[in-house]
Formats: sequence, structure tokens, C-alpha cells
Amino acid sequence: MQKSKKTLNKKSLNLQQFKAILKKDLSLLFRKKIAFFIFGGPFLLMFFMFILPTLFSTSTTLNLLIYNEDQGYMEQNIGNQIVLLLSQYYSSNDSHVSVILVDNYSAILKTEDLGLYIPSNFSTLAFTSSPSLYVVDTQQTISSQTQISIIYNICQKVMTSAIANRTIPDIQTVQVSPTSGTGEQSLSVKASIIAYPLGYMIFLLIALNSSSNSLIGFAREKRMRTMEIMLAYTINHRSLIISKVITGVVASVGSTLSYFLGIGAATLVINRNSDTNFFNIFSLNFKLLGFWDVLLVILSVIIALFLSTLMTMAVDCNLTREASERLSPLISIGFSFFFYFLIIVNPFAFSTALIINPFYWPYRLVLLVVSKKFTFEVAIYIVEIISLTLILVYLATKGIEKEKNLYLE
Amino acid sequence: MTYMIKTLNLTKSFKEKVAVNKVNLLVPKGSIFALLGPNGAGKTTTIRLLLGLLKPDYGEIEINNINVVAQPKEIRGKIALLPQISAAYHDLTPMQNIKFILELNNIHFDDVKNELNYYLRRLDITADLLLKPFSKLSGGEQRAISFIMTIILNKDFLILDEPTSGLDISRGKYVREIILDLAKKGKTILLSSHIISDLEELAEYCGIMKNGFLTFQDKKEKLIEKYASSTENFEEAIIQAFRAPINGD
Repeated sequence: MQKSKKTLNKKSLNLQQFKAILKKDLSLLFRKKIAFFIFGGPFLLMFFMFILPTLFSTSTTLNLLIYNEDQGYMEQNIGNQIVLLLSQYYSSNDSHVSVILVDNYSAILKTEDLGLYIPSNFSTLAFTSSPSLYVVDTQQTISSQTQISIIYNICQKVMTSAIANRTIPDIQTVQVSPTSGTGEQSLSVKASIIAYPLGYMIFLLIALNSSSNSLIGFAREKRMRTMEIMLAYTINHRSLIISKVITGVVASVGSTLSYFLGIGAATLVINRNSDTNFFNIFSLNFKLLGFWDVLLVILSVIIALFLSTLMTMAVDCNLTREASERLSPLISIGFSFFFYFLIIVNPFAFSTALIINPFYWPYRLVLLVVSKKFTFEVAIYIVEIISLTLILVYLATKGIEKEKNLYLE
Repeated sequence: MTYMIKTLNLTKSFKEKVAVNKVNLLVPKGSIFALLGPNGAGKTTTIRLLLGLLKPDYGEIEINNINVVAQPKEIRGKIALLPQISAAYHDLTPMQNIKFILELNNIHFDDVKNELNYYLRRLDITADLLLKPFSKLSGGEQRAISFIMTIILNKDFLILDEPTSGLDISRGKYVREIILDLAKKGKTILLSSHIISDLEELAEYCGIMKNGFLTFQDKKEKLIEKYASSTENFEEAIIQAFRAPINGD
């Protein structure tokens, strides 16, 4: 009886201590300088990234005229796929760009804005040599050039995907050539809409948050010499880790929302007269995607940021103060850098270099889930994310008491 | 005599260097015990071993009947620590730091409010200082706040590493007075200091460490008797004790 009372007291003391530590960590997170970096940084960055180009360009609507003459090749009509995908990117409600399909080439030439001509042999040449797109840009502004580059990227992506997914006919029944890996066609249009902005978001927010993580992590505690006090007074050292994890999650959620708000605010300022564009931010057409898909996108960014926080913490706990201060932001940034520069080439890429990258897991997971592909692959990513979380928490807990990490510079 | 600290053959090495070598420390309950030694003698390592922050390679530590080596978790939160360098959250105000350390030790602010006000007044910490970020305070003010953060916890055993370092004459005097008051209340204090006036006024027992060995431990008077030429010269006794060869040297 006495023993159980003692255990209960210990539990309640542990809980009390945990509450105090969490309150302190959150309080440190909301200090002016740190909050400015973590919550203000993404907002300001995205706000100005969107606002600044508009200072150099007109706010008039761009009309994109498309004439598709492509006749297809081997049951593939890449021109049609491009038109379909373009219409997904530039929705009919978009007051910034309107996509108009025309039925003759001379209309393209007469355009006063942007024109895109897909010639009749486009598919054929895509499979045999280099196809050509005919682009007309009468405005020659930053805004119109940006639109042209987006159009070009979309066309390039559709073409690459079409070639990668062609079916090679069997010559003999003895040996069957393997089909290309799961490509764009196996994922939904929604996944293709999400892919680029999501990859960019994960990369940018991790790069921004990595340095901020060291402000709220153990490296700073070591620098302020509070680590020794915390270890001497805290009964269960795991409380220190869990509190930092929760603080990291709060910071991650805050940064992600701040990122969206920054884009949203800039979009509102740019399109003051439009009532729809707040939902068309950074090529993520929120109305087209729907609430749950957007929520999944936000969740995957938060998971990536959460993993980045845990990585920082595990490094902080297992290396000396100086080493951890220098290395921990670099590790996260390094992983996010490799992730982004692999998916920017092909957002549906599936390679060993990507599979071992933790930031690829939430990204790929969302692409699969929005495509409603609940395969074994989904389960693997979920297991990987949970396992990595547990491993990093274990490493942090084990490392926190290592004497060399506490007392060596 | 009952002891707050008992160590038996306490040994800790870092690579080749033996920082603490077969130390048998005995600190009587309710005493002020000055742990002295030249730089690198092993005092800080000994303190970290007592706190359970380092694991000994060999030996036993018993603090207030708790076996620290076998049950390191049991000792956590039972010793008040004032580290050599003021440890507080620089972005928080002194008041937030104090409140945090109280909450961490499950002490209600209202229960120690009067005591806290008394210490703050005594060490000349004004209300406006309490509301500034800790980083904006002078070194002496930071040290005084750190000292208050240690003693306000009302623990039976306190480890004070250089408590008056960086303090002005007036604050230094009051800190010494407070330490003596705490000892009168029955608290056990392990003191580490290089300031001779602190040691002369406060130390009841002395322990001398050199190259990881505990070369002497007894009452202050015995130290003077053994090492000094006159009974008045405590400083000389300490210097001679530091220079004395270790058995086997």
C-alpha cells in the first residue's frame, strides 16, 4: 500500500516536472527573437517572394491560347495530356490566367498574351527524337515569362512520363521486359498537382527551421549551462526529450501555417479584386484538391519538420556542444537538399537515394494516399516514420547523459 | 557522527587521466564542508559524481542513505546545486527562472514567497531587475539570482561551487551570512571556493584534493595545525596542503 502510494507520488512528481519543463520550453519558443525566426520567417519569406515579382509586372490577366494538333503515337496522345494537365493547373476560376483552347494556328500567332502550339507530330517525335513546342510571349514581362516556364515544365513532365510508361510489346513469351516503375500515370492528377509545391515546401521549411531548431534544442541548453541543472533536478530524463519533441511539433505546425499564411496574404494583396485566388496559392488549387487533401499536404510537411526536429535533437544529445551546434542544422538541410534536387527532376521518382531519405517518406506517402493507392508501400512509409521517430527518441535519451556530451566543448 | 556523504574508493577516469582516485569522502550532516584543491585536482568531477551526473568507474557513493551508484534516479532533485558558472535561461527574466526552478522541484511559489522576498532584499535584487531578461543583468546580479535559485529550494544538502565569485563586497558578505544561517538550520553544505575569506568564515571541515586523491579531510583547525606555522594562518595551511606530497609521491 505504502509502496503504491510512493509510486503514485513519484508519477505525480514526474508529471509535475514534465509540465514545468514543457511550460519553460514553450515559453522559450515564444520569446521575441526565436518566435520571429520560427513563425515570422516563413510568413515574411513567402509574402515577399510572391509580392516582389508583382511590383515588376502588370496585374492584368494573361490569356493562354492553346492549339493542339497532336495526333498521338502508339496509343499515346501527349498533346491531349498536356492540355488536360494545364487545365488542372490553371483552373477556370483563376482570374490571373485563363486557358483558352483554339482550333487554328493563326489564332496563336495573333495572340496578345501567351500562345502555345503543339504540332501534329509532337507525340511521334517525343518517342523518336526531340519534339518542339511553339510558344508565343507577346508581353515579355517577368510574370509572363514565369508562366511560360511553368507551362514548359508541365509539358516536359507529361512527355517524360508518357515515354517512361510506354508498354514495350513482348517479342517472345519466354522473357518479359519489366515495365517501368510506378510512374505518373499510376498516380492521380491530384498527386501531380501536389507534387512540386509539396516538395518545395518541405525543402524550404526544413532549411528555414534547421537553424531555429538549435535555438530551442539541447545545444542551447548546454551553452547556457542549464543542462547540468536540468539533469540534476529532473527525475526522469525522458521528460526533457519529450518536452523538446512537443516544442518541436509546435514550432513545426507554426512554421507550416505561417508559410501558408504568407502565401495567402501575398495572394490576397496581389488579387485584391478577386474572391477566389486565396484558394489558388502556389499552384495548389485548394478548391480543386478538397479539404482532406490539403490537410494531408499540411500533415506531411509537419511530419517532415517533426523528423527534422528529432534529428537535430538526437545529434545535439550525442555530440559535444560545439560539434552539435555546427552539425545538426547541416544534417537536416543536407537530407532536404538531396530530397528536393532529386524530386525536382521527376516528382514521381522512386530510387534508392530517395527511399533512404526520411523527408521523402511523408512526401511519397501523401502522393500515394491522395491517389487512393493504399498499397504495401503506404504501410512501409508509415512503419519507417514511426520506427525512425522511436530510434531518434531512443538515441536522444541514451545520449543525453553521456558525460563527454555534457562537459566537453 | 552521522554523515550526509560517504564515498568508498570512489574512482573516475577520463581516458588516461584518473580524475578521482580512490576517494573516501565523509561529510558530516549539518556541516559546511569545504572541498579544496588546485585547478584540475578533481573537485568538479567529484561533485558531478555525487550528483549522479557521472558514473564512477569504481567505488560507492552514499548520500543521506541513498546509494547513488545503484539508484541514480533516487538522488535527482534531492541536492540543490549552484554550478560554478551561473546557469539560467538567458531569454527568461530572473522571476521566470525562479518560478521555473520552483515548479521543477514541485514547490508552490506562494509557499516560499516571503522567504524569497527576504533573500531578494538581502542581496539587493530590486523588482525592476527581476523583470529584465537574465542576459541583461550584470555578472554579479546573475550570480546573486543563481544563488537564490539554489537556496530557495530548501534542500537538506547543497553543493555550492564558488558561491561568491563575481559578487561585490556587500553581496559577498550577505551570501556568506546566508550560508551560515542555512548551516545553523541543519543544512549540509559542500562548498568549493578559491576565495580565502569565504573559506575562513564558512568552512567547518576541509577536504583537500590533489591529482584526484583526497589528501586530507578533517576540521579546519586540524588543517591549520598540520600545515601552518601559526594558528592564525589558514591561507598558508591551504597552500602548504596543496604543495604537500601525496603518499607515495
